[in-house]
Amino acid sequence: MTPPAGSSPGESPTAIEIADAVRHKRRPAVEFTQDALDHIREIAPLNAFLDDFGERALDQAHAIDTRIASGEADRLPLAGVPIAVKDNICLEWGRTTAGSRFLEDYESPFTATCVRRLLDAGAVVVGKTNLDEFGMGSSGENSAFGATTSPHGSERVPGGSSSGSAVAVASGAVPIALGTDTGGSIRQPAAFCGCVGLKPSYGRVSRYGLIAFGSSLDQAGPITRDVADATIALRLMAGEDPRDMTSSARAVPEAVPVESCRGVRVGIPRSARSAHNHPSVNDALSRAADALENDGAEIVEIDLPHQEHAIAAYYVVAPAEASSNLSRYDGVRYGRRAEGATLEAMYVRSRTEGFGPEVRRRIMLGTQVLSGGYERAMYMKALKARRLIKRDFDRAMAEDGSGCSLVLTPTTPGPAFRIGEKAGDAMAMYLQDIYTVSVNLAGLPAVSIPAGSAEDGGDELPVGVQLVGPTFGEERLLGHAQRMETLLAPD
Amino acid sequence: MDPLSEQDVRRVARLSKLELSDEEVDDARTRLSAVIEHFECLDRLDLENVEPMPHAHDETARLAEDEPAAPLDPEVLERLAPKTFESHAMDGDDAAVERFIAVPKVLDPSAGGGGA
Repeated sequence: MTPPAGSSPGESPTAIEIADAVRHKRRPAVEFTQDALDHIREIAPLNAFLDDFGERALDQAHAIDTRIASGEADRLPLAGVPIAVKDNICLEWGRTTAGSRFLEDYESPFTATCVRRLLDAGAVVVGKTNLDEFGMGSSGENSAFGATTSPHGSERVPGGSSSGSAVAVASGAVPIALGTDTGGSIRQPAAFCGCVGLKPSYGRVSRYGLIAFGSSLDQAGPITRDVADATIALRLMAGEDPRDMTSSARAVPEAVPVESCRGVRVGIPRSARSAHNHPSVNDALSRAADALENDGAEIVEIDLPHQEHAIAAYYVVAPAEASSNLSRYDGVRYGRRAEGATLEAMYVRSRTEGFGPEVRRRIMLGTQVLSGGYERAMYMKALKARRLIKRDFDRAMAEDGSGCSLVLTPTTPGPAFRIGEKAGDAMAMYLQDIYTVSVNLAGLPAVSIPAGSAEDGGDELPVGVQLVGPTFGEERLLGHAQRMETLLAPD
Repeated sequence: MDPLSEQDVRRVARLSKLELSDEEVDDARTRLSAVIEHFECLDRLDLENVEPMPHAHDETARLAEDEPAAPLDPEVLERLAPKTFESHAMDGDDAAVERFIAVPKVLDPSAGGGGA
């Protein structure tokens, strides 16, 4: 399968290269923005973008060029960098739909803090990207506005839920696209599309302006072509925000790449090399482990004994939080309203017409686990299992010298599957998240890095590995991720 | 964990404020039962003396300063609302017009059951 025209990310500049060119007046922001807008139109068949901001983006880029001309380059570390934003992140212009009919015409009155900070750094938002409705999905098939397809094969899913953001970066339209990750929604599509995807520690990035799915799990983060761009994006997005009381006051790290992995202990869970994985995934994991070991790292096998319960715990906790968060969509204050003779009829019709099938199922699942009789049986058990899952990671990465510095796992059990392949089987779809959900339950930072490719049914598909760090350990995580990326780069 | 019955699905749909066709009830019963069946693996864990963990970690929970902040502009709220209406203020001041978000009747006087 030949990728669509202009879809070679290798030929497109990184965010750091663009900002450098704009800041040093080698090429104006307006031209980079025009390139991105042209590219968005070229990849229209992939349905990665729900909106592009054309004239508005060019005006924004022009304003950046004016500021550069008046000597403000030092204040604009992302000067003129075109970025795309997942459409469950609010902007005070355009629509914010969350991929849902319910919010089809919703215009947010505010801009999310994470986007505001990138705008302040000189970035130019060129468009909003498609997603699985409200972030619920692992394939990009659940959007009310049509599925997104992969640039690596028209019959393949791009992963999800940040499907459009991953495709936007993989196709070379933008160097940075923002996603959100509740159970793998940044890392999994990044792995399927051959990009870098970073989920920060819970609390690292403000959630103000994110359309809530699972409030104790959600984090926004960047999908990029390389770790250096993810690092700078995180540094600029992160930090305390008075509008999100779960945002951390901890200093935001300045991660620098390590020169070698000498003295670093990297743990690989025994369960990670699984017979259930596609062979290419086990190969990628071995390749990454060998590269780290040859670079001086000590590779150790570790036990995460409660990892096998992560899917169950996650699919209790996340739908429970979703059912509560999505109860606000009642047709009264904003969003879709259907006519109904009574208040009750209006609620029910608005929600039934507004939500797609997967969102309805997850609301019902969450309502079920929180309803009388089941609460003790399932919800409390899942919250206790979550504690055990977090303890496993804390022990594995104990700071007393007995633990390892980082944990390495596959990002997904296999490469991108075919459109429709898992759509009829909820459990098969949910099991795709086996390596990613435990990281959200434990609030840890993790990054997916391209680590080779798989030959599957005539398509050559990217495969990713996931590096996990300790809570708020982004500095260590990204410093080593950048080194690992260099070691794994194709010759 | 028992698989969900048709009655369970209808009950949970009602609690979720969703309407399902008969086909959708069948589909939801099959799919949700498969997921709930998977939850049984949690029964194998020894959860005695384990503290439930509702938040990702403990240190991020803190309280905001008790300072008033500007609310959203009422005009914005009105723009977002699917249906609004205006009414003259109740205090008899003819010049004052108040705007409200409209909803269907909450209490139906014809349904009986008393009321003020």
